[in-house]
Amino acid sequence: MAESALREEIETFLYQESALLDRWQLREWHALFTPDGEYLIATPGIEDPDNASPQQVLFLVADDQERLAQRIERLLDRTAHVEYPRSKTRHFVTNVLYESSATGDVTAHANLLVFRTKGDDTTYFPCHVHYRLIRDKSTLRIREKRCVIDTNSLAAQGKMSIIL
Amino acid sequence: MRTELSPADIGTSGLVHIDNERTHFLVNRDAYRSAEVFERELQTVFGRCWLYLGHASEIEKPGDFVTRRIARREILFQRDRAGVARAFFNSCTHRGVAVCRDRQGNRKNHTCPYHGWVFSSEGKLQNYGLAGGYDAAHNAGGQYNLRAVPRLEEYRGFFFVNFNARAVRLSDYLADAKGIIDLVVDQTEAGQTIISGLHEYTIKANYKYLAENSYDGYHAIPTHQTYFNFLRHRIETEGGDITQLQRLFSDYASGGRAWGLGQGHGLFEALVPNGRPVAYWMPGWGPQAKAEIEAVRARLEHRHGPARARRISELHRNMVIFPNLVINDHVAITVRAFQPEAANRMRVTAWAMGPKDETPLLRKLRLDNFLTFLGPAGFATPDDNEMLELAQVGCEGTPIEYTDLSRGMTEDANPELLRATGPWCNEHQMRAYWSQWDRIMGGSETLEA
Repeated sequence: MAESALREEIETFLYQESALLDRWQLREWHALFTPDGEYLIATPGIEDPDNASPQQVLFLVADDQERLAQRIERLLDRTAHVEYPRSKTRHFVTNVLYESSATGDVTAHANLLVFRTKGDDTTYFPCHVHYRLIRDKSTLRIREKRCVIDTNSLAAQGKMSIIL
Repeated sequence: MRTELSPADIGTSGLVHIDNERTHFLVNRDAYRSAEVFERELQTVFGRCWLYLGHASEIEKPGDFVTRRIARREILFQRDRAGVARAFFNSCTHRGVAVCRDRQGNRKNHTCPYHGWVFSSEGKLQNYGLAGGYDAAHNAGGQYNLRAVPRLEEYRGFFFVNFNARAVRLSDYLADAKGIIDLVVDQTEAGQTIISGLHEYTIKANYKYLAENSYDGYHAIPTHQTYFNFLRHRIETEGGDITQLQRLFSDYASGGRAWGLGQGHGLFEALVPNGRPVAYWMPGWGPQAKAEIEAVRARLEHRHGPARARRISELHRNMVIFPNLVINDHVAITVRAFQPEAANRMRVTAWAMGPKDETPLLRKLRLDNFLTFLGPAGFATPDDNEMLELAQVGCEGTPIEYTDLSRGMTEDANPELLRATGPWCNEHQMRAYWSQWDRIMGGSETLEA
């Protein structure tokens, strides 16, 4: 695939992913993952958050597909009190870099800034994200999404109740 | 230190009202919302109580240190070159600058970045950076060494500080909480360790709301419905045994007990709703985990006998050590300290704890258990935090005078308030907490020897 076409494909994929999240179409977002896909958020402040293993170090989120499905069902339930009334989010994805393999799989890296507004309070999560994207016929699917929040704690945000 | 309440003690703070006849236990909401009360708490409660600083495993080797903020004071927790644990105020004795700016590390000396004063790991002033300028006897009395926190004591790896030099010993302060800490420490011969990755976050609520919430059996079903939905789904899809969960809910009140441990500490103990690496297997974890957990259980039974091994493995304990430490030995172990920053704001630090000799598979299951329920991105803790923030808003934005903590007063099994006892879905343990708070704020308890 031509360089510019591949870049456009990856960026479009990431923008569409963000749009699903900001519209709270969480089940549709979940469908972007492979059946063995993982969604990870490293705990701010840990050593080497880009490579640390959630099997050895305490993460904020380390979901396989089963738990991610349950997380989504929870967030869509009105008894998930922290998200009732539902917060507004806005994802900004920039600075996309990538490497592609001969099979068409892609490793992509992006900067991510997510705003969350609940009531009158707006907090934000400055992050960088590593994606492992698998080519499945004509589309890309997420094998792993690893978010690293570029803060030292959640002192300013308080909680991590949305999907990054 | 006195261990019993006399009628004259009750209500000495003017903010706790106990009416035994009508079984009302009321806390004036100024205790949660008043800046003036908060300033008095910093002087009395936080000036007199033993406050959790850190765990021995965080400063294992000589030279290891962590920096902490405890009740708005900056502390350097350091193991010196000889292996002695020390706690200093993290402030240069010259002009006040923090001598250590890292959150953790290992160092022989700390050099103040401002004028270069150098302090050893024992806190001794080594030199003034630039030679000359001071009389040879300038530090003869040691007054320019790093200032040690007045008291630092340990119980089985848990280190506490006290800002009052005349305070009672930690061992006396902890009272029966020691026996509950033992149930955590005795889970392994190898010792417990803090696992890398600490959860730090802010809650915009008074710190006592989190104390109450951390061992509140009453709130579990309405607040955490989505967590129990998740558990039920997981047990059912994995072909597991749902009976323990059903037992817990079929007669909720009998599923556990709460009681005061003396000195304002308290806990509930209840059936664990899920598997635990020490040592209660659940089917979804597979045969390898089953074999490993059976081995852990066999070692527990060998060391402690079957009854204590069962208590450790199949019951869980949520304990509050007055005023701001939680040790929850739940589906995983969390040590959670919350620091008062303002009447309506606290800073929470939560650590995961596990046996040093845990197998990789059991460690993975422990961390899975932890982040599913606990932590600022878990399936339960964020909803707790939401409730505390809503309570703070409701408390500050209305003129209502009292919060009610009367549940179970009609059936209290122990008339001694600091040892209040009854079903876990009641508020006995919170009345023990508030009774101690009342005595300390009112001045009838000084916690001095």
